[in-house]
Amino acid sequence: MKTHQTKEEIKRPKVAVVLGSGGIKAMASIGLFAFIEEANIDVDLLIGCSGGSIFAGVWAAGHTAQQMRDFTDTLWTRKLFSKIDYRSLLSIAGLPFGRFSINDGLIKPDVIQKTYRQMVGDIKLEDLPTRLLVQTTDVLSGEPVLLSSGLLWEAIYASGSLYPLMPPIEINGRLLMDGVFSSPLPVMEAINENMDVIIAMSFEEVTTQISKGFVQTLMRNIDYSHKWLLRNQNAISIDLHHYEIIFINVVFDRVVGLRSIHRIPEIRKIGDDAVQEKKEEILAAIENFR
Amino acid sequence: MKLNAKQIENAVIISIEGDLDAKNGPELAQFFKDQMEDNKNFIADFSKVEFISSAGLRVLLGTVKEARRQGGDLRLAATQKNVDKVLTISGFTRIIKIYKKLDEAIKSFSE
Repeated sequence: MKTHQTKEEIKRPKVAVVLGSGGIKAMASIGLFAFIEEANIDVDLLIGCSGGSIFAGVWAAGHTAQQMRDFTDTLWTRKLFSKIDYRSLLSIAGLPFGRFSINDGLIKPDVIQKTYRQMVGDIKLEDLPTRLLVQTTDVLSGEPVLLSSGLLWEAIYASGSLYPLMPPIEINGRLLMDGVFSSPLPVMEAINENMDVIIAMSFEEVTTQISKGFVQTLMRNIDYSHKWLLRNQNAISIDLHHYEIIFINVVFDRVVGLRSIHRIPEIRKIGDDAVQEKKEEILAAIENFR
Repeated sequence: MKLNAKQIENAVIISIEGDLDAKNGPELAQFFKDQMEDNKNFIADFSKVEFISSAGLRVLLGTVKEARRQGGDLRLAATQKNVDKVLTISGFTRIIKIYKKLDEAIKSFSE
């Protein structure tokens, strides 16, 4: 039976979901989307940065949490990050035939870009069923750039292109790279969009494990820097916001590399557990909104 | 939420019991505001707080700014594991001084 709802009864908060950077660790966000679907929460805005932009993007394109699980099982392979650009590699050591320009990276981007395109097709940001903003950084100025239009797969690639490990991409005349360098968890961007309830998920390694090799060490140091950038931005966001921000910080006690494919089930489980702890808080924030 | 104020040495201990969120944040803010008429140093005893949301953190931030403007401070004591997690991810561990035990917080105002 349909019931008549008054204006007062249907008043609900504007809800944003913000997914931060974290590479493969961002797969832990699938559990959040499963909960959003199960609890029937209306999401007004998604914002994704780097690894987080993949899952925000795929969900915004209309895929379910279950479909995202299937994608990660089938499309996320070690091949994604295995195609080395040997000219760039040689250039690090200053060896003959080495070459590195502003458009290059250590990893060739074609397999990664093809995979993102397989996941979301050629849909544009402005045509998505759920509104999505994608956090990137301008290579030349270092300024944050928030994408709201253009091809989704290009935006996802730009947001996660950890330059100079991966080449940047030109979008709308600007050379763009990973959003982690300017806004690893774009909560302030959700505040700017006048959202009421902001669910912000971040991914963090808390470990004293010694990094293995050059790339893992570099990644660890980038991780340290982004962790503190994120916390400083979170404090400012809390001060500026008018209602509730629910932080879900997914903590990993071991290093999770870009090619830790064998750990996908574990990553998703850790994410599910982190979401479980916050379900009540999310629902209460939505319910108590006036 | 239950609130209680007790003057000890150089500070006022504000004992908080219950959850801190958008619903009861304004009540805590008003309580601190009332106490600030006569005091500038505060210790928030968090031993009976199991949960704090971002709205609760905002009250602490507003209070610490006002206390420091007056030349005093707000310090936290005896925070629980769940609250510690929130304080860490929100960057508050760099903004507010936090002590494991109430005694340590009291002593800090004598140093």
